[in-house]
Amino acid sequence: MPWVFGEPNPVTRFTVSIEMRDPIAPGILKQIAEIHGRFRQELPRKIEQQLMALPLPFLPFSGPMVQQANFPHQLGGLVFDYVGPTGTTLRALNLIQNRVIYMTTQYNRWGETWPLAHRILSECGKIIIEANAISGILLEYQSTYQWDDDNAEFNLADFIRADSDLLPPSLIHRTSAVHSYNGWMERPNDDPPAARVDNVNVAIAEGPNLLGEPPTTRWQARIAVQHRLVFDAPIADRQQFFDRDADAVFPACVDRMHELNKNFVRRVLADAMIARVPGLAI
Amino acid sequence: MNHQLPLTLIVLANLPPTWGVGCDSPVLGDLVYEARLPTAMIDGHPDATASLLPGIAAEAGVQLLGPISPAHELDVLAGKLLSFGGYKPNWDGEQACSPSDDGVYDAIDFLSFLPQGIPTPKPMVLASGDVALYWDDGPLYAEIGFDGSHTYYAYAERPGSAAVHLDDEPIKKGFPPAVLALLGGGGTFVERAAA
Repeated sequence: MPWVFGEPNPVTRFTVSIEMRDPIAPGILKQIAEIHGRFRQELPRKIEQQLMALPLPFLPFSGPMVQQANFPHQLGGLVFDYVGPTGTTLRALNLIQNRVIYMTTQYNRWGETWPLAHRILSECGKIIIEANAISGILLEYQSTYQWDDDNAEFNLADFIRADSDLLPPSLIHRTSAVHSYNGWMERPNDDPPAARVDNVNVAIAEGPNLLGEPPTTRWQARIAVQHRLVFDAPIADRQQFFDRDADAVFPACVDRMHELNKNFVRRVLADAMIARVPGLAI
Repeated sequence: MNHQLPLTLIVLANLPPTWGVGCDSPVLGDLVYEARLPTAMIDGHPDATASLLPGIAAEAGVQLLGPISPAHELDVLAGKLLSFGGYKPNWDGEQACSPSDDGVYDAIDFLSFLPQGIPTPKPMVLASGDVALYWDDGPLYAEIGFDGSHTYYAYAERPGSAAVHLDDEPIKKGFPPAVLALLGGGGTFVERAAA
């Protein structure tokens, strides 16, 4: 099989986030900055992003008298992360504008990744929801595969499902760079009432070489499957969203999106690939 | 017409480099994971900063979202500091102590106080288990270390200047000016902006 992926699975980035109705207020960000100790072992670095008002004297509309001694600034965002020895982000939590986003580039398996994401997002979300309703949830997987054979033989036949209903039929016949970006909206028959936007993006391009390999260009396939749930009515009830164990809105919705995600990937990949990806085969 | 201070500039630091672009969402608008911009766009030459701004020049008062990231060198430095957490007792074969989690965390916290305009320090672990940052440039040597008590010690020397010895300085006090003077740095972005 000429298509390969890294160990232990092809997922190169997993993202889950909650979206608030309004921007997160500086005072709330400050409260969250102060609870860093609750997840410092997992995300040891905290970066406070300052919101500043600055004069811009070099712009044409700015006058000559713009020197000021003090510029007001306040907390505008937070990043908590864990970086590896090469400076690469391994996992991070980002609070910016109206979003709380958890991502990791070290996805192992759902049973290990989700509990940590759930705990950290809940720690922050329970503080935010007291003053700001939650309007949506997003889940995204990005997976990367490499062509491990002679570039002259490059093809997608063993990689893409021939009868995929999520890709254009011509895609499987391509022997060079190609992408298919496909998004749509549905209304799932679940509680709470919401619209869900799904995206299935497949991109084939000449990718970077794997670490330690000679500098030859390799074909790379990246599949991004994303689900964004937008509630009809933003949720301000902390118990309803976070505190009812598996029945709470947050874990229940994310669990459904996770299963849906796997289903979509199965509708994109060839059976031979599905059989090789841990957790994907039925 | 008063043209003074017309804009609010949102300065946001350090999105992870792997924080790539997410999928566009039809109908409901895009989900945008903000891009990582080099520090130089704000902290370098004003012309470079201006390159951020043409789109808003006609919209004085608009909020500009500019995620500004520290240099990749600082990410690498943070990553190396965190890797010290895996050191076991006797990691040097000569009975050295392992660094404490708090020692590593204090060093990580201190990175936010590193002034602009000075060389990026190197990290090290001492036999005592203290975690330290150091600069070694010929006759100049400076070292700031952390034992996990949320304080730091500092030592610096350069020919022609009085040596610096500090101990038990609270980390929240920030980068020691006396060491900065020997290193020749110029203050943080905020400090320089306010100057």
